[in-house]
Amino acid sequence: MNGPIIWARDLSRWYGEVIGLNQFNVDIEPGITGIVGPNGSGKSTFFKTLTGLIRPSVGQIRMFGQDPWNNTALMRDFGFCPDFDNLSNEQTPRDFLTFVGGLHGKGGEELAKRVDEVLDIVGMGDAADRKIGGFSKGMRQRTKIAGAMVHNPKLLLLDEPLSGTDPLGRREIIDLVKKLHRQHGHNIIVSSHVLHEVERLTHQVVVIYKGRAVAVGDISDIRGMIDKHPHNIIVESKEMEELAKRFVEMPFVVSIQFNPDRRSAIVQVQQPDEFFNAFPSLVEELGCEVDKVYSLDDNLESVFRYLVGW
Amino acid sequence: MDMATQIKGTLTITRYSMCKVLVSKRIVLVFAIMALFCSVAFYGSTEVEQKEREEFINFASALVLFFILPVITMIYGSSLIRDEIVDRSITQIATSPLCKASIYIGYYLGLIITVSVIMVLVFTSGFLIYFGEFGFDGTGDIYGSFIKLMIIGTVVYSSLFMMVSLIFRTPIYFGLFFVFIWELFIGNFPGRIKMVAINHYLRSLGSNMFTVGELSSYNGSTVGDTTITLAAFVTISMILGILIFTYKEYP
Repeated sequence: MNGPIIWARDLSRWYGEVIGLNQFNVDIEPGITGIVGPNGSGKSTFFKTLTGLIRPSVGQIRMFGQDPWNNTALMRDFGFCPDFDNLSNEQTPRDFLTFVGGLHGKGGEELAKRVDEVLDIVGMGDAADRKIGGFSKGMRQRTKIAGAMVHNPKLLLLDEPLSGTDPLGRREIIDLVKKLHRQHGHNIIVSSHVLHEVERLTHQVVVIYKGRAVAVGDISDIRGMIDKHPHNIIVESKEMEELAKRFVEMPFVVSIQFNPDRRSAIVQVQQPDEFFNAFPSLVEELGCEVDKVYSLDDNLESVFRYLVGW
Repeated sequence: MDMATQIKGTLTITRYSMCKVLVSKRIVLVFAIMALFCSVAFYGSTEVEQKEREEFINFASALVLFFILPVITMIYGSSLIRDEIVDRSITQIATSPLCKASIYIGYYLGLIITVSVIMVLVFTSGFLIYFGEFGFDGTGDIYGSFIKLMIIGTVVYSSLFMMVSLIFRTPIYFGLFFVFIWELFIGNFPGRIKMVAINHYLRSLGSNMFTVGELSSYNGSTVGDTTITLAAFVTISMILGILIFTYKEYP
């Protein structure tokens, strides 16, 4: 199919007085696309609208050119892995996938073969007949992803698949998602509230904040936009005044604001990477002790605030 | 719409809902109710000196048909889909390529099969205890009639409670009102007002099935009227349930 696989225009969804999506506009092309935004930004609402679980209050959304609401034929074309755990502890992955396959009208030998194949793809072949109750978060996520792909859909929708997993589990899922696209040809839309996790998966991102798509495109362009934004960095040191004198000489430092104790200050810098590169040599040169140095803007919330111009 | 997919999917949901009912913690309640009925049957068998079919029909109809049956159906019928909406496990089913009618019918079949099996087990255990004391000669028609009435009651009550579970967030309150006020209170009113209760129609059917006991002398509706009324009730409840289920959102 030519053109975007997902298309949304002026998509809004309210839950009473709470806004889930607010005039959300997006075109998502085939491949892997990351939906990035802080908790409560509207990622899950977008997925629910996309999967036809809820209706938009206003606006339109299309998947493969079709309206998803009550569109049972379209349900064959995607597999959905929700952000919550919908697995029964008493089931085995094989039971779960056989059930999901049954919902897609599959059965018998064909389904049994597909279940084995999918379990191998997600690396759960050895645990196929173990009770899910004893699984780690990463294994549960991989089982859920297997459930989304048992009917071999064109598009996989993975809502926060990395959430709650340990570093090893995260790495396995990231590798799995890449493999599902490269080797098995699935288009994938994956959401996360952690920018660098999505960065490891894809360069194509949609940044969502307070229900709006605030940035769409290549992640390096978005990173560039973020880096141009003045960052606030907290520095704590007994020799804060000495340090501050040298900071003002740096071309990328915009301002310095001392805290009342004068042992810490908020340093506003234009290019945080340059600042962090220069900082160790400056400390070494002055021979001073630094208790803490951290960026106040290192959280997504501030990045999103910047992107929406707040 | 691919009919084979719809049928296979419906049967998958039927099996799934049957398992869900049987493995739920509420099954403990079924055992408690079974123990209650068995105790009453045992007590009844020690109180009478000879085989009294009439006595059995009277207490079994009051306890099983008009109390245990609606209560069990209410407990399972009002929670089957509602629980899945609350814990969001319905997402997997709602995003499958099955039309909502197929899904709803799948749940309904699972519910009536499981509740029917539960009711047959409850009734049979009490029946065996009561008549085991005296012998089973001539009791086959009693057993068969109760089974028929219980299955008909399950089909009717299930259609109502499943539909209601989609309307109310806490359908159990409606269920309690319906079972204890509507059915037991209004259903026993004198005159025509009792015709708005389901148990009036079950009694009417029972009056044509039993030759002894209180049910046999019940002055109810004709078999034809009863059949049409119950069939219409189930059909309307199912259509309403399917419509609500189809246009309901699952956030």
